[in-house]
Amino acid sequence: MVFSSLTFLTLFLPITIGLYFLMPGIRGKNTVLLLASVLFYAWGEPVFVFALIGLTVLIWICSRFVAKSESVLVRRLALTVAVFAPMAVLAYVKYAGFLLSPVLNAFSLSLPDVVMPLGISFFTFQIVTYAVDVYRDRSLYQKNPLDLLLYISCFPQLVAGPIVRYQDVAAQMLERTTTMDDFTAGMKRFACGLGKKVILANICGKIVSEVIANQASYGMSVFGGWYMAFLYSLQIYFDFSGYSDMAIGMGRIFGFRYAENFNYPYMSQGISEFWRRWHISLGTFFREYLYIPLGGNRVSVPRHVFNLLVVWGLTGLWHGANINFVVWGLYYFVLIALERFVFKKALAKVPPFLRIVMTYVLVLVGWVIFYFTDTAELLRYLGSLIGLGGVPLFTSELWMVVNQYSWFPLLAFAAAFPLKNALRQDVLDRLQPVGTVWLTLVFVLSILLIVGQSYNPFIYFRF
Amino acid sequence: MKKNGKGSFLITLWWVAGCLCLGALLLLLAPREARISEDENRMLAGFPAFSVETLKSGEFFSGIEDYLCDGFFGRAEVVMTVDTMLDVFNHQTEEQRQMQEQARIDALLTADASDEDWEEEWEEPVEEAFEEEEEILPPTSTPTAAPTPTPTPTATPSPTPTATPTPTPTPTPEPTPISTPEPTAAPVVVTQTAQPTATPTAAPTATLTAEPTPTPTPEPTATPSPTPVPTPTPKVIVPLDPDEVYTLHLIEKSGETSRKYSYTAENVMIFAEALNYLKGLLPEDGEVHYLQVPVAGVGTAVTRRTSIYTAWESTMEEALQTQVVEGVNIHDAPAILNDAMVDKQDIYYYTDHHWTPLGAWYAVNAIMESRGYPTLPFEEYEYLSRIMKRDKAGREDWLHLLYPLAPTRSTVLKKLTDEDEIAFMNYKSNTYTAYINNSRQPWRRFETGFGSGRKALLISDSFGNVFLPYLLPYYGEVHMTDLRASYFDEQEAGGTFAELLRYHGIDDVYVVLSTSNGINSNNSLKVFMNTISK
Repeated sequence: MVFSSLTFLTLFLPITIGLYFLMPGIRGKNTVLLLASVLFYAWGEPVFVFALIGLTVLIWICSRFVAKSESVLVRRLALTVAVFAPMAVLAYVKYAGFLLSPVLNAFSLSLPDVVMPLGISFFTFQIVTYAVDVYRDRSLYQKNPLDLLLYISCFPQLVAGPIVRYQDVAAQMLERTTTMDDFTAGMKRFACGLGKKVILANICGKIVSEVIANQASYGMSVFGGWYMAFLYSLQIYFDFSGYSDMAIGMGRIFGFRYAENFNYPYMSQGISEFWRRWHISLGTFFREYLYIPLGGNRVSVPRHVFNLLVVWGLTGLWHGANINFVVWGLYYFVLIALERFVFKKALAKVPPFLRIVMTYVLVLVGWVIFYFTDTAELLRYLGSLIGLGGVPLFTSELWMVVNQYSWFPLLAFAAAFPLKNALRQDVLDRLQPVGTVWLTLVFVLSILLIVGQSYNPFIYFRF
Repeated sequence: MKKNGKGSFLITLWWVAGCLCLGALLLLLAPREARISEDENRMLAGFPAFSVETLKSGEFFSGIEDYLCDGFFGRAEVVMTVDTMLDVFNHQTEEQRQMQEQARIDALLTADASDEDWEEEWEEPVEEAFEEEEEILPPTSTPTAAPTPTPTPTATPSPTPTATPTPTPTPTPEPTPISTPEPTAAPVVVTQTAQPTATPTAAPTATLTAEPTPTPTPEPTATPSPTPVPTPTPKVIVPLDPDEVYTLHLIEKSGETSRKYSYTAENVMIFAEALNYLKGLLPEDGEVHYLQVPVAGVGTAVTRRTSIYTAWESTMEEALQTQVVEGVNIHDAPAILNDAMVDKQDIYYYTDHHWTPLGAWYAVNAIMESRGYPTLPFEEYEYLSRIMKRDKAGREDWLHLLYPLAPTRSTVLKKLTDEDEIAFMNYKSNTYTAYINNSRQPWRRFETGFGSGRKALLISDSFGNVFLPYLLPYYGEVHMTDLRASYFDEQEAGGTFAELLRYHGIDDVYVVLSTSNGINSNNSLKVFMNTISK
């Protein structure tokens, strides 16, 4: 089930909220959340619920050894199983085809078709954080396997994050409250995220498809390439940050305080800063559970470079089992390495605005790499960005698409920046009721757009 | 930061309550049955089937979302409102709008023509259907060198109302149980010896045979006499070159052609076999007529861009005609409609992908003239016209809703004999759904009152809705069904297609499909074949 569906918005969420607040005591509320999460996960792929539960039981048993055993060897062995078992499952379902197919094909062999469980990349990392956190601090051990299952499967963050570290919510699992303000703020955050996803991301995505189709019909252009990258940067930002907003908002309604996942990434003044603002929970995970254990930056320069290579190679691979994701990760490795080791002093002298522009341009190139899983198409688009192969600056036909949506992309671009920060706090406070009304309109419009997405009217060019 | 006030809390609480009410109302009030949407040309979802299987596969869960979305109150109006709001951003010039629409059409047509994903899906079922048929009805084919001649059709002319017709209602047949048909007439046999090389499993190597059950030959009651039908000589069908590809293309001023649809020889032969099989299900004098109508997107490419295109042309129909037996007639819609189209007559809608009644009238006339029947001028029919709607460019489409020349009784038939009478046309509608009061499942019957004694079946997609009214004056009854996926259900209809054909005593069959659902639409081809061969 996805958040931006009628089933979720009109049935699942209201019923869950109702039952949650009707249930007395934290145990009852946790039970409602657990059952809702299992149903949420089972919706569409019921069979994988058993995989999720099985994995949780395994991790709970391992973590028990980690927490209770006095033997270092047993604790390390249990930790190894707790970390590598879910990782092995993830590697198999997500990467086996990509990594092994070329070899197997050479011997006329093939892997059986595997369906990837929904959200496995996210909940696997959550499992790892739990196992490592318990290893580091025995007191975090969760005695009740049902509460552990709730942590792993809690529906607001189950399928698309943010990746919640166990240490951040361990206490909230046992005691939490929801005030009237929490409920209101949570709902408003949810509506904001829904609007980002349904209104901004989906329409930007539609324009991206139109631009690509237009360029396929009428030829590539430099402007077309950049325009597509610009729009895609908006689509992916609003899509992902919208989903995170919805998750954080729902978390707040249920009394959880999830960490922020995005912080206006397109106003970053450097690539490192971009990654401190983009998908923060993933960056935190890699930093805490991989980069620092590898030695971080408190090592020799070659080792530091190696650590960065490992982190960014895996970051790329985490996003998908395809060569373009690996290239995308390595692209950021190169940029960050250059930023840290080569241009650090030079960049410090560049005016902030210029640094923001430069960073954004480099990020746009990254999104082009991210978008195209087909290598030939990727190279064609990358070439078009710099006019390779005699690509014209623009084609007149592209204006059809530009004019169709005119200033919508600019409006969306503006929404990617913290414009409200320009207002004083007292002004913002005074505008709060207006904000609620505005979000009500956004909420209603989002629902109407969701209905519209299922409508496929037969205007004459569609058949 | 200031905390949210009580007012904000109450508003957000109402979001939740409102959503819950909406969900509950949708569950309670949304239509639970799947139904056709002519606007979208698809089945709108009904409440999904609840079973262990659908739960395990997840179909139930995805079905709920479809059900809620498809059953949303005032869905079309909601979308129109949102579209209007989003149109604020649209600053396209009229020329840009047209060019973009054309680019979309081209992209869709190219995708449709080169879509190969379906092949794996349909190869097996089609062959299975053939195999099953061979078991039930053992082939009686003879070698290709000496094909069995098609039975000589007995000319039974149908009357046309050249004068004011006298309504003589056709009595409703008494329901009789359907039994396995007895082969009482000489079979129509088509033998294909071609072995297309591309996909052996899909090759039309099987032989379709069918034994028609003759229906009582009705007494001709009307005056017009058709052109005498010559005694057919046995037709030897020479298989097409399997590598040949037939096209529907636009012709540019420069003489260049712009391909819009491709038809493989293999598909043409498979479809020919289906039509031949259909002929075999009819009485000896029964005829099958096939017409594949290009959709508006292709037609308007010419009418809107006469600076580039001068005409259109299709090579498929001629090839298909060589593959069918006597009594099966292929009509070339592009040729029939070309002059009117180049003349910029309104044979297609602007705001819709369908053809107009005028286009359908041209087609019916061409078919009837080919049979030697008299025809009526377009103006002779009595029309009720009203504005359909305006498109974004401000152009208007007009509905031409005709009153039938005789009081026509229109019924939806279910379970063979369950009758539900509905209005012949929906004179209140201002969309294409007005024609014949929208498509209805699974079987429709129009009793015309003309005493021709003959009955026709129109197998069509929604393009048949404007075609059917012009067919009425030639038959005592015109039946109609849509054999696309999800549209025809044997259980609901009360029998297999062949059984229904016999039960209703159909004499002639007209197959009218748009190019979206015709030979090049491989999925439709599969369904068509499977359904009629049961």
